[in-house]
Amino acid sequence: MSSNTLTLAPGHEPVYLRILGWMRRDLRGTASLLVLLAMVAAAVLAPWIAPYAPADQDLANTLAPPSAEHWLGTDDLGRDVFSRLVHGASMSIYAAFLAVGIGLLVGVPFGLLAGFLGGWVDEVISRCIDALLSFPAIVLAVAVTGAMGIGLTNAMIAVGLVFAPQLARLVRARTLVVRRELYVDAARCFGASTGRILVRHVLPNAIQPVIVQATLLLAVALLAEASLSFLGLGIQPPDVSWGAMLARAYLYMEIAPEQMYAPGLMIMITALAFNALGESLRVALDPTMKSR
Amino acid sequence: MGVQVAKPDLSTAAAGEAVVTVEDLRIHFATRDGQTVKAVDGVSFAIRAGETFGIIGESGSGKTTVGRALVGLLRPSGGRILYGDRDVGSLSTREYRRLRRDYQIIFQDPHAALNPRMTILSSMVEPLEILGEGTADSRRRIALEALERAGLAPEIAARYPHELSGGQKQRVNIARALTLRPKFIVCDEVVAALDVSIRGDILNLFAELQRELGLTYAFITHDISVVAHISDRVGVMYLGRLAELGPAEAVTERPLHPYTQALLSAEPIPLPSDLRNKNKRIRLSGEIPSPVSPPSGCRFRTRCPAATERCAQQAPEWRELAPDHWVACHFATPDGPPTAA
Repeated sequence: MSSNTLTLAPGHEPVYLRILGWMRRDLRGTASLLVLLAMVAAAVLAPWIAPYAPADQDLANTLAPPSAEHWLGTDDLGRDVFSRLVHGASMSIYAAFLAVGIGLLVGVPFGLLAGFLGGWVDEVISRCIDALLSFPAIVLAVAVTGAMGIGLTNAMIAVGLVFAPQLARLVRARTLVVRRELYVDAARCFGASTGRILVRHVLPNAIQPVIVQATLLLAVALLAEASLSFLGLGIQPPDVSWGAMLARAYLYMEIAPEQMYAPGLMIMITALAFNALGESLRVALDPTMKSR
Repeated sequence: MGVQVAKPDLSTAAAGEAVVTVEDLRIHFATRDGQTVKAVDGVSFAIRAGETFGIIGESGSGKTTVGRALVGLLRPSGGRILYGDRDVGSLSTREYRRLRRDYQIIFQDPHAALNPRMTILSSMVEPLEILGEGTADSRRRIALEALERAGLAPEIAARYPHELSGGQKQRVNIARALTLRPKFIVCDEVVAALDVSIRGDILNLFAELQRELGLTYAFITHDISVVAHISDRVGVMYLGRLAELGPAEAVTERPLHPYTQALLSAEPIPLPSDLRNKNKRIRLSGEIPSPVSPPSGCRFRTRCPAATERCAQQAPEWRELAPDHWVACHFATPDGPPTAA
């Protein structure tokens, strides 16, 4: 591990070697990345992979156990569970990334400004964060979808707005530390503008916990999508997502508890993969941890 | 420390002309509970082109605050700072950004001054990038030349700060400032964080660069032996004010202020006790008072062995008792500081 970092100065090896080196050093990260890539591939290739259309019903054959015909059985309307899982991947992944993306897009700039500028800017932003955090998340999401209309995209924008204050607070806390660093003073002496200092010096040094938190939130977003779809605010039939499948399966919990396994397991595996990848990213992004 | 450093020849530079002038500088900070810390409270001096101006004082004397204000990292609460003959406070943001490249600082902690997420090369080219000077290639070349000038191999450019030693990092910081071709550099305790074995090397590098490039330094330190070796003039700070200011030799050999005398007597002498000078060590009682409520009159009076009633009532005037040798003490004479009453 340390032998190849010693012989080759970082930055001088070809990119593919660096990626290969990382994969060899970080098996957990590689595994989680492969799992997520498989999910994305399934989502993109769903029409070719899935043996049935997700909404095809076989009402004579409902809540069937796994068989050669239906690999993972059928649901309460006789729809093929495996096909729905594959099709649901795209919606679930889209939903998770949309929510976290919006959370980052809104939360990070506000957190940076509050932490770096301080004073009244910080006061105003921090009070808004407190106000937003004092709402129960689900109430906020219901309110936003109520105002903007029902649908997966609106529901996930709402979830993103729930995430934004958490991320903003995290960024602000890190920024408060980083802005006092000597290299920020040094950049100022070279005449760097506030914008440049924020982008080149503060953001890269403040973002690390945010990346980890964001991958955790991807997992939370998957579950939030499920909750909102369960409440009927998220995805609308005939579209399908893992969350919607889980919500549906919940209704038949007493007759056919195994219905929850497939979507639940997918959500769990994906959430775990996001978490593991986040941890690996944290290590990979920190140059001080590379050669240790 | 026994560092032998040659003094630059002042006649080559435009000696005597002020590079930085500080007039009645005051820097006050508000504390959380609404009090005011008077970190710097009425300091005036002019640093002449080509000289090394030493600033000494113990922790809390305000020396680092002065240094940071000199390069615009702190805004004066009162008084003014002039770059050449231009008042920094009256410049537009654009003018100031253009002017400040000539006024750089090297910090005490060489590691903290480098962004841990940037390679040495990215850190090195940043100043010129900010100024928009040259092309990516020319900036890279200038950066590598500067590293070489500071005694570093170009290979380290691809490394990250944590992969270098403290001395190497300080050389990177020096090289980075050099890419801007500054006139004036504040050296804030630049060797305090380094191993004793490499302090001399770094100080010699500063001296060589001064000779070659005609640099002017403000050398801030608590280590009087360092200051005595490399400075042309020395200012002694106590509790936000200058106590004494004069040629380095005069201040260290024939101090006028009781505080300077005490500082000098505290310096360890590498001789067996029976061979040491008869000068007894002067022990100052107590701590440096709080800059929130400094003593009335002379700030040193609470610890001064020669303090009288007058010292409590009246702040001492800034008097020139010998050529170019100034002191703030009621009772100092050209022969030296007052003796204990």
